[in-house]
Amino acid sequence: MIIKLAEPELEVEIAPSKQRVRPRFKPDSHAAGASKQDRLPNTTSQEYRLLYLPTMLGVYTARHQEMPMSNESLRDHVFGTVGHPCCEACREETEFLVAHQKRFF
Amino acid sequence: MDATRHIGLLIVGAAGYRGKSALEILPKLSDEEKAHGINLELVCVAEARAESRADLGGYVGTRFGPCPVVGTLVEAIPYALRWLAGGPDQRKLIVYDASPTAHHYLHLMTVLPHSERQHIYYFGEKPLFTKEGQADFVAHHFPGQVFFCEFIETENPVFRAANEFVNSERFEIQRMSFWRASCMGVAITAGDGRGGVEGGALLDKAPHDLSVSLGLLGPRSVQSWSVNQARTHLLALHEDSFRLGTRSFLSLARASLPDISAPARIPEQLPADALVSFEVDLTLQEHRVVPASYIASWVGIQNTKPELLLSNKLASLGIGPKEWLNHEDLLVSRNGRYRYENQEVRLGLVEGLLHNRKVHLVLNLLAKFEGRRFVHLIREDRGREIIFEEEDGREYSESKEADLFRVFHRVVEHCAGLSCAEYVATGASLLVHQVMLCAQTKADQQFRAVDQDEAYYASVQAYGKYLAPAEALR
Repeated sequence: MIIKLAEPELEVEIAPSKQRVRPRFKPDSHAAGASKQDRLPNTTSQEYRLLYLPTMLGVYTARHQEMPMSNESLRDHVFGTVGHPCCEACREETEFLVAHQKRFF
Repeated sequence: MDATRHIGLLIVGAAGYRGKSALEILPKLSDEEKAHGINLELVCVAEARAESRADLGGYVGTRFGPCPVVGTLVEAIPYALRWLAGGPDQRKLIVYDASPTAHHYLHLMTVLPHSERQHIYYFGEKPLFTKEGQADFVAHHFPGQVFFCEFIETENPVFRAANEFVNSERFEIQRMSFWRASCMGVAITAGDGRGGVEGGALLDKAPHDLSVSLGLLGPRSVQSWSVNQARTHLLALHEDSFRLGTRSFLSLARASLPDISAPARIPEQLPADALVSFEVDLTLQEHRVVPASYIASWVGIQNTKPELLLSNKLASLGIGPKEWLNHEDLLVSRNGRYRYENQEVRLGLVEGLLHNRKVHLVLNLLAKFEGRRFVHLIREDRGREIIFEEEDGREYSESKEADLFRVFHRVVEHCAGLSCAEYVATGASLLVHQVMLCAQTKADQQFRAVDQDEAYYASVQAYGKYLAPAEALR
């Protein structure tokens, strides 16, 4: 995956997960049906880059024990897409930790 | 690790309690490293609180020259990479993380991908991990990567003296007991707790005692381990319990939890413990097993069974509470609402064989308000030998700063390729956290069956020993 830093020339490549499989969505770990895209933060914002991305990475790796394949797949896993519901547990923990960090800002 | 003479430092959470301490010791540390041929340079500081950044910029600018001040670690990384690429010789950079607990793993995960290729190394305050999955992920996906946890007690002169004695005298450790009591939970409830401290007594206090006990055995000597028993004796309370008089436990993230009967949806919503004990079997080479027991408290001394067992054992060796109990006079909380007392203990009792005779080593690791730090050897006939005793006259803050200085020094020397900081580097850091988090999981399982009203009442009683509304004491 690519971690996007402040300057494009300083992007750092991270080896993707060896298991080239799409993150699993357990039936009990997400709300069936509707995507949670309405909760998706603005992915071009500073808040997304500085807070959401590192938090999503921390939550995802601890919960699923693998590296996400890309920032986009990580975002899709946590917030869902039109065709795929989000991982409710990761989303809830991400939202909580982002709000928690904002208390210190 | 490859040798280098150029080490950069990036401090995250630079305006906080520990971040300021790091900035305070930096000039002296820089001088010390210069004497060893190492050029130590402050590269960047990060501070999330916008209102603190202007002052911080002035402070670091005056003391260390021009230095970028940013808000987050992610913003600081480009400065770090630019500095690393800025010289003909190899450079390495240490990220010192003094941010609140909840950010540590996120920051470690931001730094680890840079460690091998870009030579950026994470050095964080404890705890680095607050969930078993975090430690497991790093252990399996970043094997051999260097990072450090600031186990400051491994620089405590008591640990150093005891460790030297154990190694030089071939003292065979057979059993260990550690007890850390503080009134951090009471201070938090009174509104005086440090902002970033969270997680409960186990996560806040036990890393140090585990690091000291594993350090005495040698972190690399431990072949395997198992947590036999873990028990949460008391849960931490939120201020609402006293301010509003309603049932309100404290969550791991320091929020109010009025009801703990339903399972927590996310780990941060679990109740924080206020007093916990656990027992670990540490297996060394040749299948030798050393049992170790630990007590961690945020509510001082509560005379639970493990506390009584240990204090009775100490008394049977002729060691009374006056030698190890730290007591601070009545305090008024900053908000003026409460008065509270503070009792603290940090003690280790190590049982073993010395020249085929059974003896005990007593480690008094804390002299905060009174007394002195010491290591005493107690023989079978109760005769005492002083292995180490600190001289009078040193303030607690000075001792702490001196220990912080030494742990920084070890990390810098490790990164420079001069020596190995084995008590704070990857292996010890992972081992300490894995044992602690396994104990936490076990304690959580046991606590699920407890009646929450009984648990709340027990905690109110325990807090009441130290805390009272200000008007009640007038």
